[in-house]
Amino acid sequence: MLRNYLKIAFRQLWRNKSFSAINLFGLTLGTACCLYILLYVQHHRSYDRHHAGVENLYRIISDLNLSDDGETMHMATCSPPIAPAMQEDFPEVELAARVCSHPAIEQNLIRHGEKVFYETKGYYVDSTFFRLFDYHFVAGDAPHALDEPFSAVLSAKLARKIFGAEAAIGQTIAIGGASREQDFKVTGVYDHSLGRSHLEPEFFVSMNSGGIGGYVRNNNSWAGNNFIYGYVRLRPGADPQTVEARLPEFLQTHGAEQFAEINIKKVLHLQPVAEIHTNTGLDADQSTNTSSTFLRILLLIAGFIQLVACINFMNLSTARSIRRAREVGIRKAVGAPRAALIGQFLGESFLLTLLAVGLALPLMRLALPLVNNLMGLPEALEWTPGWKGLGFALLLVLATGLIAGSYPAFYLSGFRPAGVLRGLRRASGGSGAEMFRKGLVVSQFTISVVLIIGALIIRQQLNYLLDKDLGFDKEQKIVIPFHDARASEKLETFRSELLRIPEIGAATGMEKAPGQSLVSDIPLYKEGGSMSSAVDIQMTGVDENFFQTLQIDLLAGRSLTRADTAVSYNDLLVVVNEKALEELGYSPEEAPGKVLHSDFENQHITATIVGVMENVHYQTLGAELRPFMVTAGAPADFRNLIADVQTDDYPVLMSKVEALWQKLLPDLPFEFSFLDADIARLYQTERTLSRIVGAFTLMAILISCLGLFGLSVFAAEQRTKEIGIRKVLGASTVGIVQLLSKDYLKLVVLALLLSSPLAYFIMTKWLDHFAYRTGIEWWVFLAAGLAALVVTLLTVSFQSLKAAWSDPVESLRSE
Amino acid sequence: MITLSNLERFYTNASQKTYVLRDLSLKIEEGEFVTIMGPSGAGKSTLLNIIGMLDQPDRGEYHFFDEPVHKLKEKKRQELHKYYMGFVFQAYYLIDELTVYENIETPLLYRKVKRSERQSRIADILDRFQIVAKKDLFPHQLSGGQQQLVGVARAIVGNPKLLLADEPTGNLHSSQGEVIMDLFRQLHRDGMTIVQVTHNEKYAQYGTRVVELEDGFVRQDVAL
Repeated sequence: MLRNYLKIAFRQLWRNKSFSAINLFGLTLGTACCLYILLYVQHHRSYDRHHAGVENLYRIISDLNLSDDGETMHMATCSPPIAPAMQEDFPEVELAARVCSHPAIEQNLIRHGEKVFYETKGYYVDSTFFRLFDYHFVAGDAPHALDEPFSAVLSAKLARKIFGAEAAIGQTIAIGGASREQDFKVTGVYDHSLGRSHLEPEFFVSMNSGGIGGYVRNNNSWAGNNFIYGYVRLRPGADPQTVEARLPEFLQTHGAEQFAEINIKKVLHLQPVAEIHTNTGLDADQSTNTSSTFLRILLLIAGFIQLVACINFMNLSTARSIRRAREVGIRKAVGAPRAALIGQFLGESFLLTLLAVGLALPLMRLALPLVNNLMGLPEALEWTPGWKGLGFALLLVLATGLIAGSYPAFYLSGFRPAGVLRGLRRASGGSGAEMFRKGLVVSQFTISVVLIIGALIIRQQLNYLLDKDLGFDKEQKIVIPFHDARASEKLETFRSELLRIPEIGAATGMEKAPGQSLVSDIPLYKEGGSMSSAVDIQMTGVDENFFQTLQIDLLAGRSLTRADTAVSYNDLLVVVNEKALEELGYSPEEAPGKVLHSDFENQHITATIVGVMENVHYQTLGAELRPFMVTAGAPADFRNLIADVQTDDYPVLMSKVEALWQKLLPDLPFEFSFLDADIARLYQTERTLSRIVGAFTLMAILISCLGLFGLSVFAAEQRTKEIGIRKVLGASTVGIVQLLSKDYLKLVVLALLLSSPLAYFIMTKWLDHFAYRTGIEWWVFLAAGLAALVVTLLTVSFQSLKAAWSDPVESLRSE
Repeated sequence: MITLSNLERFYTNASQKTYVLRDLSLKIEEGEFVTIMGPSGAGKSTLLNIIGMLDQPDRGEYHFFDEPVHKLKEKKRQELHKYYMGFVFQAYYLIDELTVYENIETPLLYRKVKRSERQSRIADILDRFQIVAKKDLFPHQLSGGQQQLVGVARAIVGNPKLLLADEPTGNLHSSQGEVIMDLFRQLHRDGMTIVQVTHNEKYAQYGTRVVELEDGFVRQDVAL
């Protein structure tokens, strides 16, 4: 029986080549998209799932309130002593470890012999780290690799970069950064073969190695210094909620005095480590995470595309039912029970789906590098089909085959043999089936139009983010990082020599450049106020050329001068932004000269306002603008230099700049980037989304059009006689094309009416995530509608014209 | 074997009833070869379909042996149809995608006949109809007469008690038609009950009885 089904299914497919090709093409494309998205989602969901006992592994995160009525900040971090103290105080906590990197630097300098380069993602970690997190060690002893001071564990990639083929264990490397270079002994090398981690680390060094590590170890700050990533593993069976509930009391026991003194409210939470990578929205997270909402949107799109391909199959199958009806009649007449026919038709759809998946797998594999590139993924996805992957592909076949095949199967097998064999039209699909088919086409187009509108709005929002006036000029600016303390000492010399190059208009040194995350902030209150009314203001140190180089307008007061450089960190001279004044309750005119205060761990800090600048967007537009100020910093603390350049020939200019660097800092590598590119990088997620939605929108439209094309072929075929008669009666070509296209246009218009509010609803929700967003404009809907109409007309008119040009005598004779 | 009493079959079209069969009663015994004749629209095919259980009457009773067909569930009717009936159609109605062999095999598959048994039965019938050489051809590669031979072979391969033929010679020219009718006569002599619909007076003579329909009534019922 099964053999018979398969045989007939194969022959059916072979005989109706255009039908099979349309379906196979659509299903293959759909499945390839689906598989790609599943791979992408699976990749992001696999982060940190491989650590033994990960179900009991938590990161300690903090909700901070710096003033009574201020906004709560959700930090991925906590204060230094918390994690080890939890291990002491809570019997449920089995083990704890801290992870930190120097807050002031983005990169670390690595030196070994002649090789000198910068490396990101280096962490100071407690020696317990590798007992909490599983890494596959290529060399070295994981649990004790970091027991000794000044030991370092490297990723295999970094080890190869430094040592080539040489063994890394036992070698010495120098690691520098904010402080002087220190020698570290390599005690381990790991790779990522067990799985990815949210830390995405390139190297680890032991916490008890002085520097920032020493600072962390000796720190007793329970309220401030929230720059540590703390992790705990609970004992199996321990309830994280019970532990969390006792955390306020735990904080009070240790730090009540400190909290009272600086008026910080802090609530600690335990975040499951396995969920870190798919959770966005925490400040100061280690890596760029991928939100689970984003992944869910992708899954939805994957489902949509596969559904569109399934609808093609349903539509074409039922449209062809007139042809299949006879076979159904015959089979029933020779004794086929309905179940057998359902089995047969389902078999056909399964076979087709199986073929589609069979084609999609190698197709996706071939296209993977291309698609990765197109999507602008920071790291390439790889496809390793394990049993799980194959099982999943099989599941996809079953689901797709069932969805695509069930309606045609039940519909076709329901034909009454007496009717279809006598050629009754009624038996081959009454108005109910016709309506259903139209409904399917409408839903296909609704999905496509929603995707078109979505793609347009995402694109608009991205452009808005990139084009919005940030309050400073980001064009034609180069950013040169000074990652190392030694380099910073030469920054001022470098800057003044740089200005001798004629293409350089202005140059400024600063701690943090626009787009880099600001880590310093001070709660400040007005004269006569107290910490409870303080406004938390983010800050960074800059030099006196800051405003001129970035073309930031001052609204009142004066710019900073070299003489303003703080003699002590406790008496600052600052230029604040409007937002800060708004929250403090000053007008720009009255602000200059006002003194702000802060009390912090027995220290009293004053900040005197010398000027007011407009609201510059120093950070991503994804978040609301915050109070911000710049202070005259010490060049030794500066980590960046921004120069305004006027040139058409960057290679020549940059070689001059590099020559200057080589002269002043011969043993440090030279790097630079463009400010506008750095800022554009903040919107990588939006860019990826825009590309993915754009690509998949095209796919959905293509697949829908294929189906529509197939339908129009059958419709024209069915109406051959009608068209012949009309032509004999004198209908024009235009008239016939109109007649045949009108029905489809109605469907597209209906789809447009359905999709517009749906798309509006979805996209409004999406835009709500942004603090700064573009409006949804009416023309987007019009454009999407027009696009759908034009594509439909082009698809359908081919068949309509063919029908209209056909010889009526020919078509009438066949009756 | 077949007892039809007071059958009615009608279509409702725009609140108007169009009768195809009215108050029709008929008895057919095992071993008969009945020819149903009559003008177009007299209800011949409908009657045949009702006897073959492909269609149901709107009123009246149908007993097949002792089974009250009009009271049976769809499933049970299908069973009866499957095991007792063989159908031959005017337009042959072979499945285009299947070879001669596979077309003949189809009813056996639905009867869940074992593979070896299927092979021997089909071999027998191919041999008997002298179409062994054609077994791997597809329907469109055969002449009309050959296709109808396959149609008859398919109808009787499952050893039905009753062979129903709806104008089996309607699409054939006379020499081909006679081949089919000779075959029917042979089947009848071997004990098969046959009910055929035809317009052809000459082919009616092959049977044992002629039932003439007009406007859904039995106008004449003559034993030959």
